Amino acid sequence: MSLRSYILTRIILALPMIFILLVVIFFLLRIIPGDPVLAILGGKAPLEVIEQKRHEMGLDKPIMVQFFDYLKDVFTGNLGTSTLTNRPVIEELKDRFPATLELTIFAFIIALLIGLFWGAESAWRKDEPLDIGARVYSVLLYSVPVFWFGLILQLIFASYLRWLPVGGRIPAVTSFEVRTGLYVLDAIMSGDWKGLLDVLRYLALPSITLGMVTSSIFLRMVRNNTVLILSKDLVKAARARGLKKRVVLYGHAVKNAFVPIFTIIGMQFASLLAGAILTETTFSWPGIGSYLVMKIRYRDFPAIQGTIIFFGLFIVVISIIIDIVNALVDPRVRY
Amino acid sequence: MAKNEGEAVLRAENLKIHYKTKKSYVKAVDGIDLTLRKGETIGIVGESGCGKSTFGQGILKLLPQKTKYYGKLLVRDVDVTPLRENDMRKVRGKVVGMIFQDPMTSLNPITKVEKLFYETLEEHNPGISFNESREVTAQILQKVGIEPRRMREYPFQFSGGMRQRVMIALALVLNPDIIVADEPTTSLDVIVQAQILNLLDELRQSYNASIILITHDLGVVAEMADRIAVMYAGHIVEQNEKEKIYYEPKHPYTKLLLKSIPNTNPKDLELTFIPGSPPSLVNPPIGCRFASRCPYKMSICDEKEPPVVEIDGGMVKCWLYTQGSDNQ
Repeated sequence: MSLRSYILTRIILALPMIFILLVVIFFLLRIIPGDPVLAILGGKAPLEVIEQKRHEMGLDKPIMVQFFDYLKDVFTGNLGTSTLTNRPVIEELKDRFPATLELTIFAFIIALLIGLFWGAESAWRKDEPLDIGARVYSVLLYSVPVFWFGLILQLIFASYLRWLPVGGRIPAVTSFEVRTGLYVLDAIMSGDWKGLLDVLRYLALPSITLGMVTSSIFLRMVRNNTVLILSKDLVKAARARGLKKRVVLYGHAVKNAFVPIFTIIGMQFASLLAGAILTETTFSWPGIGSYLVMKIRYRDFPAIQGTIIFFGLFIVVISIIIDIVNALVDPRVRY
Repeated sequence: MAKNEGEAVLRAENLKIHYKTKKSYVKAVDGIDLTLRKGETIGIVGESGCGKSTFGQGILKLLPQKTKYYGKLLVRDVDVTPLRENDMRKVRGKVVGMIFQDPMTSLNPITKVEKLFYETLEEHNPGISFNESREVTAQILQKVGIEPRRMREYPFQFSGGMRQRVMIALALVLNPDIIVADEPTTSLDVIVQAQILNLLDELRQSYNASIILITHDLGVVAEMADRIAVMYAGHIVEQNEKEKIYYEPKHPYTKLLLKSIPNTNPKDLELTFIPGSPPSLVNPPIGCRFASRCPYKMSICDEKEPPVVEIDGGMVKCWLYTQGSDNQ
């Protein structure tokens, strides 16, 4: 099977999954307490105003009619209009997605670097202080809620030391041209180094928070799998040829240790997104996560549904990319 | 066959290798003397846990860091027992090459064969280009009977026997003086076993290398070795030329070991075995370590460790052959 048809198959297989997600979120939203009309108008609005608004929003139709209307819209690529802002949900998601992407990419890089190097070195020095430190670190950070950890970092680095901003993404107006929406990239493309530093200062705390929490899982996986591989003959054989530690550890042990890790890395990315929702809220990061939380507060059904579907699609895309990278690392993988 | 006059490439003098477990040290190799001469093949035989693999890996100091080495282990006149990791790396591959038991697990399955050779060559000849490395690789692969174009493939694409050929080529590519082959054919089927053994023997001759062949398979050593050292519970209990070991074994353990080789004679289908099991190597007995299983046991055997006696051109570590013992 070629790569192209593999990707196509994966996307087709993802469609039923997205559909189920859509059904669940649609009905779940209508089961939980809270009325979108009241959330917008407030409890003291006159009854006829409420009824009129309900009619405008189409919420007076039978629920199945609402559902099929929505389904029709989704399959024609229309995620509806936000009941709160009256803007198309797709537009709003487009505006906010780069912020989330930037945050998750940096968090992912931080998690990967900590997990990879600390995990590999711990495995090499099993049961030595570095390894014990890694185990304590990963248990602590795995059990700490991400928002609490974020608050603590805020308290230390923003409130006491005043090294970094408490939250937000950029002071006010960007000093560089926004092309991709990924400010780090935009600043580099404009050659605006002062702007880049500013962007990084805002990005630092949220991405470190999310990255460190995610790294706890990576660290454990890399360490445990590498310990397993290090006990195998291929490592002894590599050493028996006189190879240096760097080659033995990273070129042979970690490379093989990553094979099983790749299969669960996609799922880890899903939990990274879940963490992003909390991180964004903690740091007022204007991404999709904080958007979702705000929309839930106002019972903005189309926006919530749209965001969830978007998350679903995003995870599908990421897991396909990870599968492709996996195939590059492990030649045994066939599509 | 006797090669007692060649230059010694490896010499163990009262070598002890004690490795650490959670609580204690296992005295896996506990005072052995052995000399390997140029061009010679020594077979080291013994049952599982007798210390033969520990000795093999100890030559390259591949054992866990906390392992302790006592006595001397001279590899081409350099005592390696005090050497640290960085100095040891220069010995590994270059002076002593190693072949492992299971080529399915000893070759990194997801690194291309040409890359395995390149990183090995590059380590010992810094600055070698990838193309030069490929040329060398092509030559050595040809020698072990693998088409050079297959160097672009991954080890997982090779069969077991072919992988072991790659492993052998990889161990020989730096032209080492000594090859340690730790159960090189145990995981292969019988026909491939013979091919691999013949290949090893041919290569030994053309490279004028010496081989330490570690195995529990007496058939394998019969085929290849010049001399045989029989190990039991951390000691070499007997060593001599191959023929002497097979036709005139001295040590009771050797005798019983040879008797327990299964044969295909339909009139003799009963399997012979040695009752009992080897002693713990954490706290080995003070006397002879084989005493508890030995049919010729005397009272002295439990009290004092037997000395090494030179006899019939070889050596045996048994009270039966000391002067003044008149039991036999």
